Amino acid sequence: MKNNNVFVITQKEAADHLHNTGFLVLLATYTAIIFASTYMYGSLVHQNNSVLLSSINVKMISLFTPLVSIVLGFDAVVREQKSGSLNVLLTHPLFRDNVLAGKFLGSMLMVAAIIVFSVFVSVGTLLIFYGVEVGYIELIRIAAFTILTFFYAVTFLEIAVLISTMVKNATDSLTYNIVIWIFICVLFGAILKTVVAILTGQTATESVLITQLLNISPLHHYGEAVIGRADLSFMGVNVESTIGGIFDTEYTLTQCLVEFWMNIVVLIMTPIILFIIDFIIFLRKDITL
Amino acid sequence: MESMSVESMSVESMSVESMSMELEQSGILQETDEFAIETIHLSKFFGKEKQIRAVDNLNLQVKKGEVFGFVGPNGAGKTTTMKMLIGLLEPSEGSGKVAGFDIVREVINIRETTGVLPEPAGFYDNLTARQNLRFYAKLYNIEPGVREKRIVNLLETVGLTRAIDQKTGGFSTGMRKRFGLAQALVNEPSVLFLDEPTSGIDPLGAQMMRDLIKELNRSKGVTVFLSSHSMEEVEEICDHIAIIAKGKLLAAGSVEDLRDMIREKEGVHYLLEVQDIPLSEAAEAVKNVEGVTAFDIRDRTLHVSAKMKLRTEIAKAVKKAGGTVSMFEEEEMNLQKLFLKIIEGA
Repeated sequence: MKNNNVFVITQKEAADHLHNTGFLVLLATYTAIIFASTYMYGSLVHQNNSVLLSSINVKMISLFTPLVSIVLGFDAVVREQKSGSLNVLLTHPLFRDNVLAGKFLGSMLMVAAIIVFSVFVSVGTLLIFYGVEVGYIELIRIAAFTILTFFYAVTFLEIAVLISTMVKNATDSLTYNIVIWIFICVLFGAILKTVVAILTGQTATESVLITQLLNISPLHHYGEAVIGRADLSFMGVNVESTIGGIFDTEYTLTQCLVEFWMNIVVLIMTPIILFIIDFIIFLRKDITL
Repeated sequence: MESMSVESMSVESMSVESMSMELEQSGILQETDEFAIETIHLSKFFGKEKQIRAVDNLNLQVKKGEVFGFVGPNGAGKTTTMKMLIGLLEPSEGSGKVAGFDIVREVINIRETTGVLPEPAGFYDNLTARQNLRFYAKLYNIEPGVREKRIVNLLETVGLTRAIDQKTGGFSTGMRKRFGLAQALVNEPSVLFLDEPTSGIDPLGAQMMRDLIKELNRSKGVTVFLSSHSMEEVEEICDHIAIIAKGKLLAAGSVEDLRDMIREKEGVHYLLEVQDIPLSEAAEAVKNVEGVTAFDIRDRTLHVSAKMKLRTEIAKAVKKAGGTVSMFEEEEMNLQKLFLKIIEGA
């Protein structure tokens, strides 16, 4: 029965998102961006031997997918606490961890659905407008790409829920989340380059420090694992791996996974660690009756 | 606040059984299962050095089927006690049982058999009354057919049939309170915890809420644990009352028990109107009655204070002095006055 209650909350959370006009507007905008960027990207001449894979605009996806996660998670806990509904909910037969797990599962389901949908939009655009070929290799790589994108997006979802657990109101939560998004997805590389250049006088290509510091960004791990680029942020570090990520069809998927296993592990582990931290904070939180 | 949910912490509290035995031997508690709620030395301390004693050594017994009023000034420890009873806070010391379940080890059982209307109570304002109740009902695994019927019945009980498909976001304060009661009843609880159920609503709405609570208690035998600031409300609907301040239980019993307690401590106050002789003469006569501690003449009325009930003796003394008592009343102490007396005494 207790586990059932997790699914009751999951169901409600997912339904709430689907009925939220703001979320639907964002989803429509996100889909339009994915469609437009794929359409534009598809018309370019590609070096890679797979037109389909090289036509997916990973940079655009890496930039906008976190926003969807933020919208899904920024008020997950604080909204319920502020409205007093958490007060009421916790008087019913379920534990606090059930509430948090249900909320995460509900939002994660939405993230998964949106990512799968956006992949369909990307591939569909390329199939319909450019008639690109889709083979077994591409399908496997797209599946791996979908999974990595999911973990990347869930990282931002966990950050959003974590902030939502810690702050006093939803506006603060949204502000902090947007600041973190801008920092990681837009400015991180440029800031890193500037700071390291000022402190050490080294450029991005020379500095080992930059490569090491990049490891704290989920965008770095995502970019490297998918297309072999160390940094996808604006004016960031322009370093590329020998293997162009899982999208590089000159190498087998196994070779790619062996090359980027560390990035993949970080992408999977980060949301799990964030969930544990959030779980502890939520359990210790005073919920005024 | 240094709080942590019960479910996340280890159980260190002494078992209810062993404490009950100890208290039975000391005569504090009676061995019986007639209680819906009982606490034994229940305490909650906050702060690094446990310097804030929100609830301090609370021993309570609430009989099954009664309406129990839990009153006290702000910060008295009412809500903290309620939180401990429904398993939202783990006691620092002591233990308790609700509906026969331990408040530390059997939290889920408690929540399955109790209903709670907290203050503040928020609902999912994007959902209708029916959808909200459906969500809460799902948490109890109630069969869909039973669930839907119960939702309709509950909303009818609280007078919200017309609002069944309205979003709760549009409800007035009174409607929200009544809806809160409906959500607390969704699992057909045997014990109902109500925290300030009429706060913020108009007198008519408050009376409707009180009638609802009384009716629930009368027709379904639901034990009600009511925390309130309204003495009028508590006096009207509660069988027994406990007064708490600074975390300590100051008094418990029926309103009459509390009156007796005050009488014992402060004596009895009578108001007399006398004919045939001047009040000063009547006062002189009353003064000599053993046990009379003070008298005063105000507004053509003789005010007499006595250590104990001396109604007959005073009447006799006035008659002996040649007077006729045309009005003889014991100064009625309502719960509000009793409450203030008890709090002042603490």
